[in-house]
Order: sequence, then C-alpha cells, then structure tokens
Amino acid sequence: MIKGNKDHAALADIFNQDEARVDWHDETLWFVRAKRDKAANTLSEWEALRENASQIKDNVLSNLHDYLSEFESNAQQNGVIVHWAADAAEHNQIVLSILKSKEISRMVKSKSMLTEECHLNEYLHQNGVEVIDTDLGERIVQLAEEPPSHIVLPCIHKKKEEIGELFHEHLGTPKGASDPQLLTAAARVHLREKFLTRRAAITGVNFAIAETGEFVVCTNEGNADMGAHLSEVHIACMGIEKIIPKRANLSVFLRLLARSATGQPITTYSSHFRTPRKGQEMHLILVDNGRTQQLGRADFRNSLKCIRCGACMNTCPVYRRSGGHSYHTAIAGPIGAILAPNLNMKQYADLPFASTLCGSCTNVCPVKINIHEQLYKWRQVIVKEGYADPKKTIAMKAMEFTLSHPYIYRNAGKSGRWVMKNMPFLVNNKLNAWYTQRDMPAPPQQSFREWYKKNNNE
Amino acid sequence: MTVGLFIPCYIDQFYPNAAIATLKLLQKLGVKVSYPLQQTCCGQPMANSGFEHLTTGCNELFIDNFAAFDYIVSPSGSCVLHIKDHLHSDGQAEKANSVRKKVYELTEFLTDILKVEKLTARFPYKVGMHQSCHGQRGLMMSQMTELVAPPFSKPRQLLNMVKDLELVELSRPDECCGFGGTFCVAEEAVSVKMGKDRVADHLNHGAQYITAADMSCLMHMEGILRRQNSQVKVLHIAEILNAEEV
Amino acid sequence: MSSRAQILACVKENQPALTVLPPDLTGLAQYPDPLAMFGSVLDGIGGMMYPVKDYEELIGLIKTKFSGLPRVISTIPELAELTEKDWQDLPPPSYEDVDVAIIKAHFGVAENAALWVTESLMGQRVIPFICQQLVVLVHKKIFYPICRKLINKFQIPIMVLVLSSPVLQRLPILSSH
Repeated sequence: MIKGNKDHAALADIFNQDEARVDWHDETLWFVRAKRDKAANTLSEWEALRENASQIKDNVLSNLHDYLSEFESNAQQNGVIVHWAADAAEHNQIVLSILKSKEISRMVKSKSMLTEECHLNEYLHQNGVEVIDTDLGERIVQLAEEPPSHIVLPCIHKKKEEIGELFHEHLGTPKGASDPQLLTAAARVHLREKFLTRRAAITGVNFAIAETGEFVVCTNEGNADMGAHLSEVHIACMGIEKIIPKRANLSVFLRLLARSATGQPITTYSSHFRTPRKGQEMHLILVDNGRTQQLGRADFRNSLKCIRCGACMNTCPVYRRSGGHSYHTAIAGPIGAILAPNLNMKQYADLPFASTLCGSCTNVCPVKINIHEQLYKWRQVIVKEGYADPKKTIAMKAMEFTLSHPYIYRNAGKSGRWVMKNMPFLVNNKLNAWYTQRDMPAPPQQSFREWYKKNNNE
Repeated sequence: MTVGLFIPCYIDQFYPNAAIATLKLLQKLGVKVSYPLQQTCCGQPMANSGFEHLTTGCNELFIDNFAAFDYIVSPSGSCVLHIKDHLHSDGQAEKANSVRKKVYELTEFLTDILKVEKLTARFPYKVGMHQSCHGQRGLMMSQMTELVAPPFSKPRQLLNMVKDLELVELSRPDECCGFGGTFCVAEEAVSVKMGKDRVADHLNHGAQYITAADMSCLMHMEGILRRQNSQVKVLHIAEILNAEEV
Repeated sequence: MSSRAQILACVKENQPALTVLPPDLTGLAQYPDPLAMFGSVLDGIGGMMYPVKDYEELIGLIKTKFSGLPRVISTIPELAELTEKDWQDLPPPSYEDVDVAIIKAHFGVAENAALWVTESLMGQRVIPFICQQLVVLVHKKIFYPICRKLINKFQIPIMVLVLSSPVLQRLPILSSH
C-alpha cells in the first residue's frame, strides 16, 4: 500500500529514480496503445461507434432514475436480490451481512474496480473473511500486498521476474523461474482449488441492461464465471452508472470495450447473468458512493460515462512515466484524476495537475469523455475552493498584476529579465526545477518588441 | 486585410527570431501586419494553473490590442488555443467573441486563409517535426493518431514546400514533449523524462533540427538538448518557412 | 430514508434534461465471407477452426485431436458414443476434471470471432469455463458480420464447424445464463 501523504509529483519522482524501469513501463503500455490503434483501425465506423456510445450514455445519465427503477424491477422478477448502498461503508456492510447470514468466511472475487474503490478486501479481512482475488493480475498484486496500478492490467508495473519471486514465495514455484507460461499454469492450479472450495463469489458488472434486468460481466480469464457458477452465493457489485437501456445497445459497447482496452476484438467472455442458477442465491448491490453528486456537477458529470477500458491510461504520457500508484487512488490515470476530486477534493487536489493537457486521453476514450477539458476545469474548482498552495497563489497574483499592465511589464527590465524572474517555469537560479535537468534559454540581445521598434517600418 | 501579430511573452523575451521570421514571412506573402505594442500575455500560464479567474486584466488588454484587426496571427498554437477556448469579457462580450473567432496559429493561417501553395524557402537539412499537442489536438492542425480518420498536417504541408528539406519520420509522431506550462516544474521528473524521450525519438531518426509550431515545446526540448551537449538545434517553423535560399 | 429512496431522489434531482437515445448505426462493416473472417480473427486470438461436413467426420476429428483424454462430455445427442453418460445433473465442482466439453453455439460473429451460447446449450453453466478443452459447433450458415443484436433462439440443423480453444480458454464466448 502507498503510505503517507505524498502527492503525485513526489510519487512520480520516486518512480523515476529507476529510468530503465520507466522506459520498460512506458514501452509496455505504449505497446497496448498501439494494439488499440490497430484494432480501432479495423473498423471504418470506429468514430461513429464512439459517438453512438457517447450519446447512449448521455441518454442513460439523463434518464438514470427511471432506468434504475426499471432495472431493479426486472432483476427482482428474474430472482435477483437487489440491494442499494449509499456509500462504500454501506456496500461493504451489505457484503458482510450476506456472508454472515450464510456463515461463509472464505470467498473468491473476480476483478471489480468498485470493490477496490470501496476497500472491500481490507474491510472483510478485518471482519475475519478471507478474500481471494482470482483475476491473475489481481492475485499477483494481492500477494504483493499492493493495490492494482491499472484498472485493466492491475500488475502492469511488475516484471515477470518479480512475479516469479512472489510465486516462489507463495505458490512454491521453483526459485528463479519467470517463464510466463509456467507461472500462469501455477496460478491456474492455485486458483482452481479456491474456485472449487469457496461457497461465495463476488464479481463486478460491466453493463446492466434496464430492459431485461440482466447484467454483463466481461473477462478474459473466465474467472468471474468460474467463481459465480461454482458458488452457492453470487454477489455482483455495480456503480449506478453502469446501466444501459436495452440489449440492442450492448453491441456498441462490446465492440468498443476490448478494442479500446487491449486491442482484442472482444473480451474472451462476455457473460450475461439474468437469473440465479438453481439452488444459488444471486445478489446485486447498486452503489452510489459519490456518483449522484458527480451527476449534479454539470462540468464533470460525463465522467460517469466511463466504461473502464483503461485506454486513457495506456495513452497518457504522464501515466506511462509515473505508474499507476503515483495517483494514490483506486482508479489511476486521467479518468481517475477527474473522478477522484469528486470524492475528496483536498486529498486528490494534486491529480488534475498531473497532466500536460495534451488531450490524447479524450481522443482514445470510447465514450468520448472530454477528459482533458475536465482536468482543466477541476484545476479552476480546486483553486477556487482554496486547495492551491498559498505560495502559488501569491506568485499568480503578482504575475497577473504585471501582465495586466503593459508599462510595468515592459519596464520590469531589459530582455528576458522579467520572464526569467516571473515565469513559473523559468526562475533564474540554479536551484529551480527547470534547471536541474534542463538548460535555460540563452537571453537574446534584444526582445522582439525592441527589435520591432527599431526595424519595422510598416 | 489587416493582421495583428500576437507574440507570446516568452517568445518576445527569449525567441525574438521566431517572431521576426513570422513577421517577415507574412510580409513576404503580401500581408499587412502590425504588432500592437501594448500586448503582454494571453493569460494561459495562470489559467492552466487553475487561476483563470485572475485573467480578467489579460483578457481586457488582449481585446483592446487586437479587436480592431481582421485577423490575429500568432506563432504559438498553445496561446492561440487559450484565446480561442477561454478568452471572455463581461464588459466586451461581443468583442471577445469576435476575437476568439479570428485568432489563428501561423501555419493554419497560411494554409487555411492565405491558401499558400508555394514558398521560396530552402533548408537543406533533416528536420524532425514535433506536433505540439494544443495545436494538433486543440486546433486540429493535423490528424491525430488516436482517431480513425484520413491523415493531414498543415505544418507538414508547408514544410514540404521548402526546398531540400528532408522530414524524418518518428516512432511516435504525436506524443507530448512534457512541457505543459507549470507542469514542467511542478512535475519535474515526469516532464524531463517526457522531454528526453521525445528528443531521443528525433535523434534516433537522424534529425539535425527539431521544429514545431509552438516555441514552448521547443524551449523545453532545447533545454534538454543543450544539457546533453547535443549539436541538434531547435527552430520555430516560421524560421524554416522563411529561410532564405542559399 | 432508505438508501434506495435517497439514491433515487438524488439521481432525479441531479440528472440533466432528457436527451434522446440515438438511432441504431447504419452502414456498418460488412464482410463478404463472414465465415472466412471469423476463421481469420479466431486464428489471431489463439483459437482454431475446423470445417467438417457431418457428424461422422466430427467424431473422427475429435477422436484424433483428443485421443487418450478420459473425460469427454457433450450436450449433443449425436456425440453420445464419445462422451460420458448422465453427467448433466452433478454438482458443479464435480466437472473439475473434464478434459473436453463439446457444445453448440447459436451463431457466430465474424468481426470478433464470438459465439453466442445460452445456458440450454451448456448443460451446466460452469462447463465452458471449467473444462480443459472446449469444442463449439456452429452451422456454417449462421455467421453474422457483427454482433448487432443478440438473438436468443436458433435452430441448428447440422453442425459443420469445430472450434477448439487452447488450455487457457482464449476463445471468445458470448454466453447467457
């Protein structure tokens, strides 16, 4: 776990102390981005699909009340027990109470970012329940006692040798073994035993269809299905924004999701859960945890359109060079940086600034969330709400004063002097952050303005 | 046609040659250009830091300086995008609106308004073209690799008119250089790493010069090149498009 | 107030003005030969496609491909001679050692090599996930260019296609329970 109160810049600084590792991390994720590009380019209608998906999600957000009610009622008719949780604490309590009622103290879980957001594992652990994450990547970070660093590729920050070490320690693989096939096979044996012996399974939800009351879980390893179909109790947890209106809308998202996420044409399994298996209990928890608040923020509500593909992380030049843990929140990267301040503006005041606003995230987003524009807008909100560094505020005010008064600006000095002293990125002393690894521009003989006055005769 | 030349503050103070080349190039193409002497800054450094509410003075000043021109042209995609997206004024709302519509980055002005088809420039070097993000993704000066759409590039279209210039292909044609305004000091480690990687892409493909339509990215990459004692130089695209035939 | 009432009230309060659901996209990708496209996409993701003309050829193929594997189950009556009898009502964990499962799919989708399988075709829900090798039969005429609308019921006259996934089950499956 990430300890202390370090902000993104400080954590990124630590990550960058091993440059070769940064290169490896960057290249690994760029490879995924390139696969995504290739997959997107196989469909001439790609941009139309994004627009369609975006509009469907707009409709969902504008009619969420009715869709939720419709979904709930259909799910109940299908035999699913529906719960509502206002926040993470209530979500966790619901899970625990279901387990307690069945006297279950060991369970399996398939990757669900919502349960990460709610810190369910820690809560259950404190209450004497053992949770085994069954997604291979999730299991790896669980063994390492770390949070996932990426929503789709949770252990992307780990090299195969490090995974080999972990498996040697926990699963008894030979020391020094790092062959992915061998490690995967070992994990498979280890996880099968858990699937076969645990009586309860938790899964996430990718899409919940209002029209039919069914929910769809997309995985590559089939672990959500293994858990759910082998257990007596299946608990599915979903944010209230995961609703889509109709089954007919689903294909648009299935066509976009895996291509955006990993460049696959579709996830290996896209399982529709509608009714419990005979003799099985199926629970579904609808979680708010700040979502209704975000829905009320006009500038930020469309962050709720996110389908958790992770494409914005793979393309983000900052994420690739700072690692998911530098975002110190369950959902890292650009999308995390616009979701997290809604939950706790003070704690996550640094995240909207962890971006160059290059805009690549917005372009890869399959539901066309204007991520970089929201990063800009969050910056304004965070400063107005008083979470900016006071020193920065004073500097900005001084700058504003000079730049609003041409006479003062001109007389602030000869060429370069004012900019050297005042531009936040070019403070003229060798201790500043620009100069540590970069040279200053050489000040010219004269400014353009001076040259213009001498040379230009219009 | 009257054109107001908008020269961002750091270009005025550090890179006058980019501004001079912009002015001369426009004049060479028969445009009547004026540089309003009272201009300072577009206000972007404050706005991108979350202090957009402090940019009122800059906004008013910008409107006063530029509202009278038919077009406003600047050798910086990033500053132009800031004006286009964020310039506003309670007192002069209509003027602000009109300014936002008539501000152009230099290469888009050359291709879209002047419809330049040939240049007299010659630049016999291998050049790497850096796609600055705000110009590319914000002003759509060239197609973006994330989108499934036909390619185009306004800056490349112009560079292709320069005699003897050889454009090098890059492994990542539109990755950010990591400057990002105050990002470059607030997130120093990542910013520098991004800059080093970007520069390396150009060097690996044999570029002798790195050019861009945004001087701020070039300032960042120049800082890294000089620290590495590299012989590779940065030049604003206006300086190449205006290069005299030798 | 219950959390349900509180969440719904808050959603109602905060949701923006109603926007319309967009019409279905038109002019989508078409593949002149969906079956060939299916095969090539499947190949790209680690599956294998085998055309067979009838059950006899299929049985022969399975015998060759999976010779020596003791536990073979199927929901297809025509394959009775190959497979375990009366397996369908056992507790789910008892399928742990199934070597090969052979099921049918309602249809296949060309652009992503997906197959639509519902519970009735699986015997038990866990079967396609717990088995070591999965074989799915689909009629060669039942391939659609894209996964436009998920259709539930299909008549399968005769299967002419065999699919086999590698051990890690990288076969795309659209299933419905």
